Amino acid sequence: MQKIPYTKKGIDTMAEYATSLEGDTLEAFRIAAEQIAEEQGTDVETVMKSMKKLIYLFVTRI
Amino acid sequence: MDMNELYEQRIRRFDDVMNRKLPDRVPVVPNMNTWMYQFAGISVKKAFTEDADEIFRAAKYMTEQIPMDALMSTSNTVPLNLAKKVGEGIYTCSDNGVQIKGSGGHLMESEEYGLLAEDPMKFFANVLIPRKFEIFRGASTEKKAEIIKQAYADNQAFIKYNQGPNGRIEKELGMPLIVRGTNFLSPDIVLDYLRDFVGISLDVRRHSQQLLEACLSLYDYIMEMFNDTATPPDRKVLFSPLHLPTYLRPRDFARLYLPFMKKYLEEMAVKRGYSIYFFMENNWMPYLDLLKELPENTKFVGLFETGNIDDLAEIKRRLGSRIIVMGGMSVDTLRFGTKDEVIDSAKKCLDLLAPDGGYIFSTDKTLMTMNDGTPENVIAACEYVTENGKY
Repeated sequence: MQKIPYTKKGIDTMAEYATSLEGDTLEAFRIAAEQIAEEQGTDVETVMKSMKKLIYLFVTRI
Repeated sequence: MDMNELYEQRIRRFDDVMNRKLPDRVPVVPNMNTWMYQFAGISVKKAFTEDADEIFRAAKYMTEQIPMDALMSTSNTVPLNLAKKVGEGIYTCSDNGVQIKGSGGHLMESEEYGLLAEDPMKFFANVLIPRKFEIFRGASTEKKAEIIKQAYADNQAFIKYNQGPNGRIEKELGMPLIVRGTNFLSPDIVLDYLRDFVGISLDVRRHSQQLLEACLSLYDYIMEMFNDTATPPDRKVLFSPLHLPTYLRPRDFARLYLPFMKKYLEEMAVKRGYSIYFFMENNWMPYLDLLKELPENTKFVGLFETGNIDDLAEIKRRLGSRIIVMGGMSVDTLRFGTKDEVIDSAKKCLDLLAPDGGYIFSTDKTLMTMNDGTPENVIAACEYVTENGKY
């Protein structure tokens, strides 16, 4: 794992890090869900349920 | 015997104990992990990432030689191929097993508890994922979506990869795999993946209210995820490894951890009828009176990480109406003891823990490598209980 350098002072801005500088990662999960749903002919809500698990998996299982 | 009948016979023993009935004999469920692969001479890395048939071969080799009633799982729980593509993550895999890298569990600071409490999924996605995985940093939203789509496909492939051997182990070997899923209690997520041991130890003293509020939010996120795709209760268990409790002083445990155990058992076991399996790490003796707050007569089994059979007997005496006791056989005895010492220990388990049911014979710790028990001793222990544990 490589962490981005951050200081305690900079932590308040961390929540904005992905959105302001690099795009919203949660939004990227939603976009991916929409594309998968379209490709698989399923509804976005169902894929988003799996995405919710994938987000959790990124942080806690790998 | 027909494999369906054998499967039914084995899982019924487990069912009976979970339903607080007396089975025909004490179920034998060694707490087996990657020991199984080493015993069979099979590379864990190959089995987990390249050739799923190796998982089946390891289970077949082991279960043909060691009498047992169930396997918890095949232990292939980390999607390593997915992890490799996004930057490895916190686990490494070798021929001998899967290990967590040092300091992999420190991903956020205490000042961020408010953000975690406010919206765990948003905090995970927007803050922690880019922090943990370099591949997400400096990438456009479109590029991130591509990475996520690949990860989604890899995760689906991982699920499918395991379905093959899992199905074969149950059908062709008649061997139940009894863990149907894992739910961490939220304080353990904070310990294992967000703040690490040093961080959470400081937080318990300095930021306990923020820690509690974040854990409550995280708990809801975990439950929501489970409920989104939940199937009805079956004959298998939902597994939770309890890591943090015994590092807390009893009064901190009562405030910061016990409420989550209670809430989880009341929701999942009492209200919804799921069978719950907690791996209760370390020494729980100072906490026994506090555990009397847990609901009675639920399908809740606790595997206690102590090879002290007298302690387990005490736990059963004081909490037997609340916890089905699992464990008893010390891996130290399995590793260093003689065959006679192992049999003495297995006999003591039956003498002190088996009367009136409510007991599953197992090892006190997870068998990860051959250093956790010699094959001769593991076989001797399981044989003794299958032959002498009849009610």
